Amino acid sequence: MKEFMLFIISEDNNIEKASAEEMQQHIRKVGDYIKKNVKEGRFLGAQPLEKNGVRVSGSKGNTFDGPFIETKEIILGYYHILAKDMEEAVEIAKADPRFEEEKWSIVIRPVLKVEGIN
Amino acid sequence: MSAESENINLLLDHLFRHESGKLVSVLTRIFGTENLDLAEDVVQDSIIEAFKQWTFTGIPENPAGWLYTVSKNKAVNILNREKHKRKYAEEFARYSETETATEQTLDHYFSEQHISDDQLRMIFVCCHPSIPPDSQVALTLKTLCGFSIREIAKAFMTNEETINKKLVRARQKLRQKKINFEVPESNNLEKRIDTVLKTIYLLFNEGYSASTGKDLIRVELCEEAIRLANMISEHDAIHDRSEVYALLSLMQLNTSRFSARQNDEGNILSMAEQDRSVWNKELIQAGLNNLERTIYNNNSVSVYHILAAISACHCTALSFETTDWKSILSLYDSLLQFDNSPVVLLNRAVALSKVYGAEKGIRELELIKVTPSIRTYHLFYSTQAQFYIELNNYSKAADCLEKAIQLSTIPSEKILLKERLKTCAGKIVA
Repeated sequence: MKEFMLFIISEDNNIEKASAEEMQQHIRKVGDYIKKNVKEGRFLGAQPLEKNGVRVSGSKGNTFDGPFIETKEIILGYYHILAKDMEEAVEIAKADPRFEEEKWSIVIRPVLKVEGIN
Repeated sequence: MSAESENINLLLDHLFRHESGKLVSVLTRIFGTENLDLAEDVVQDSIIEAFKQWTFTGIPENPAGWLYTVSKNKAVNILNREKHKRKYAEEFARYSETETATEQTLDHYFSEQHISDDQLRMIFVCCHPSIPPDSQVALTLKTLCGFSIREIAKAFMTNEETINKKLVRARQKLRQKKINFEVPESNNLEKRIDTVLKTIYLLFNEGYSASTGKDLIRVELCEEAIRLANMISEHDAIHDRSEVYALLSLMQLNTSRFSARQNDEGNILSMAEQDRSVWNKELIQAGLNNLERTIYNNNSVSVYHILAAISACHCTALSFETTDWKSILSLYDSLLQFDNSPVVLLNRAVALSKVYGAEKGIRELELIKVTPSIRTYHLFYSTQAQFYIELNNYSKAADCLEKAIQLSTIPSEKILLKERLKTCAGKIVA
């Protein structure tokens, strides 16, 4: 099994337009999906991320931190999952019921591990 | 879905909507009715926050408490930050001169008893006589029932812009008239309760009107109307008013037949054609209990009392034919004193025909035909046709059905009438 990080990305505005009822339905559906995956051992973690954060950048002696550049894309949270390979990770991501309503994207990155050393 | 998650879902049924109604009420008390939009924004923000978090972490054990805390914190921030920018509710201003005082006062306001009082106050604000009735319904749905503009528009079968305009106008009125956040004083209470009940009944009928299909949102309107009436009836200031129970009873009894009113193709079924085993027995029982409660109060009889009693006669009858038509007829006689609209006259004629025969029904229809508005009412002709069918006079029945088909604007109803016409035509040939 390999580890993957899945970053859940939304265009910031689509949530604000949903009704209370739709939000509740969404939480229920996605919540059930996460719960099932945790139970079956595929998810190691799933956490929401705050919208606010800073970027520390530069090089030694010249680092600075500033607010994130305003972008439409916001990383809402992440799933830390186990999958056989990238193909299965993609399948897991596609099964996320959040895709049923609004537009979302999920970025999948394998956790880098060199076999036999890590 | 697992049994476990299904349980949780039942527990959380409309949680967001209903908690949002509670929170908007409390915050409107704190911010003042002129700042209703601010209250709504704070609640919306809290719900979005819950949404973002709970999607990943699951729903917390005490979701309502979670939402209260988040909303309260947001309110504290706003009050401390914008203290001088806005004018908040006067009562509140007295208790919140320092930041700690603000927080303590808010803790007090966010307690269960206060929340229920505030919801009652809120409904009197939404149903203030200076706001037009359809705006009252929209505002009630938005603030107390947590419906979005899109959902209200769908329920009213109109566009979002129209609903938005109604809401904007209603909020303007609240500001202009400086409407207090309170339950009216006793000398004014009677009239104001009247308006509140009318608005709730309007909201109910919006959902119940058979002409508009089986959409989920329509059942939800009925449920909301019942929930609001229940909320009012439980309140100390109100609980001895029998018309509240009468309305509640009427709505519960009618809703019990909700899913039996249409067949699988979405066509409307008359009372005679409905499958009575589908009627919701719990709602019938609840409706009958509430009707019984009205008997112990000495308030004068309202339209709701009579309508609930009629509905009860239908709900307790084992079949259409064994319905207690004599009681229904005398109830319609009483109803005429309040309301002699075509619908009432027509329904009374049906009861009359059941008691004294179809011929009597036909004669009655001839009498009420003088009312101009009834001559363009398709149900008049379909009722007339029904009487003729009972007398085996199929050619006259066919004439009436043709008129009814012309006047009906509802496709599913037209189909039903056309089928009936075909049956009649068949009998004429035979």
